[in-house]
Amino acid sequence: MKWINDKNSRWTDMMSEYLDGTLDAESHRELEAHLAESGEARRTLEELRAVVQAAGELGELQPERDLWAGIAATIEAPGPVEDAKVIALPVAAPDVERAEDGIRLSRPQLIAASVALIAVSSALTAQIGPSWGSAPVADVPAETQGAATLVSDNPGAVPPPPAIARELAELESTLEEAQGILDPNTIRVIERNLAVIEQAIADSQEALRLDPGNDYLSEHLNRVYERKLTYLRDAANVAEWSS
Amino acid sequence: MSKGVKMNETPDPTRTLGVRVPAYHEADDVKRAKAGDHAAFERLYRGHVGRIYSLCVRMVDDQSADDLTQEVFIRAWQKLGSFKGQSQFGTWLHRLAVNHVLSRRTTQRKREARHTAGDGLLTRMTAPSARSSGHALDLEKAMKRLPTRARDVFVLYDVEGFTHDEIAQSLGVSVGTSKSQLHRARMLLRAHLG
Repeated sequence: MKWINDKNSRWTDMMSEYLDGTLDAESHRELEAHLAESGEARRTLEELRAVVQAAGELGELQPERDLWAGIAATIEAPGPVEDAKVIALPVAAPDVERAEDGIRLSRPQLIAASVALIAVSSALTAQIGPSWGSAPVADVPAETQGAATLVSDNPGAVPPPPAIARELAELESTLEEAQGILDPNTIRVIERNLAVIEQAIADSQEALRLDPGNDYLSEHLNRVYERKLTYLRDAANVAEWSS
Repeated sequence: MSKGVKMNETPDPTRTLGVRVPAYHEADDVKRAKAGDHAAFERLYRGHVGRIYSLCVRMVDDQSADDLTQEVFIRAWQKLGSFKGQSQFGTWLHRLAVNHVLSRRTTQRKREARHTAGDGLLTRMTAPSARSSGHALDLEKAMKRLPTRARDVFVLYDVEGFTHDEIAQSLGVSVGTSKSQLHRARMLLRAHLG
């Protein structure tokens, strides 16, 4: 380093401890004598002092987005928190980090992306009524989780709007082809979240079956379909980058 | 942390020795959170997120800071049962954050290698941005370009107020190494801010 090669490095090496008040007495005297003689040394000391001062004056920084939702989704998720750490795909696709053997997704990225899904699912469940609200949609039964596949096959009684249905079909086809490319952990994440979405769709459809004229429920179902569409788009993007 | 209040630091009644003084109800919120109260834990999060995020963003890259901050709070939630109240919650949380950030170093190194290479750093440190609003912003930027170890020590000592003993223990290095890395960081930053 350039500064190490400085002819005055013996003195400058003492300066941090001098500023911190931890320099031993003898060295302290020697350095002060040198400072009295050397303008360059005094200048260096003042520059170092300015750095220390600037560091001490740094204020708190705040994240640009609210991070609580991702935390809440994780700690409120059913089951052990550790298990809940990997529960979704990232919404912000460019943040996905490539790994040599596939795609590596950091946990909070996954968490953040899952928040919207779980929030939508939970809200839907809570608003549908007591018979569904008693069991959060996110609390997907184990058998449902295990049965979820990348390409879900849950046509339901109320199909999605045609435009959404077409894109869903295309994306599902893309993901089906990508199963051999994606990392098994990624596939597991996708499966688990699709199971959550499918559960929300199933609950909405059941609600509509009991109350077929309810516009509110119809709109909710469409929103869940749209959420599924968004999710599958992200998943398809990951698959594309993995190929 | 026992290094004391930083030079020329404006006294802040909500802080003592760099640690947020708990509001009168924080201990109650800690108890509630330990009992599983998410709302209480959210209040704790709101009260401390700035400090934890600041630590994370200064020790890793910006993109990872959000992730790390969330992980720290999730980990805090998991470990609340082990918090005995012998220190302030903020101190405990901050220590947990430092340990978590350092434990994630391995996975960060590959990414950081693109930005810091140790030797030759001075020549690669860019001039302060024309858009910078002052030394603080310049310093924030310059810190990110420090070699990892020097940055760790600088952030922990000069920004966060840890002692060399504490830093040495956390980083698994000697006190002498901590001191030399601090001096190295200051010299590099001095060249940048000068």
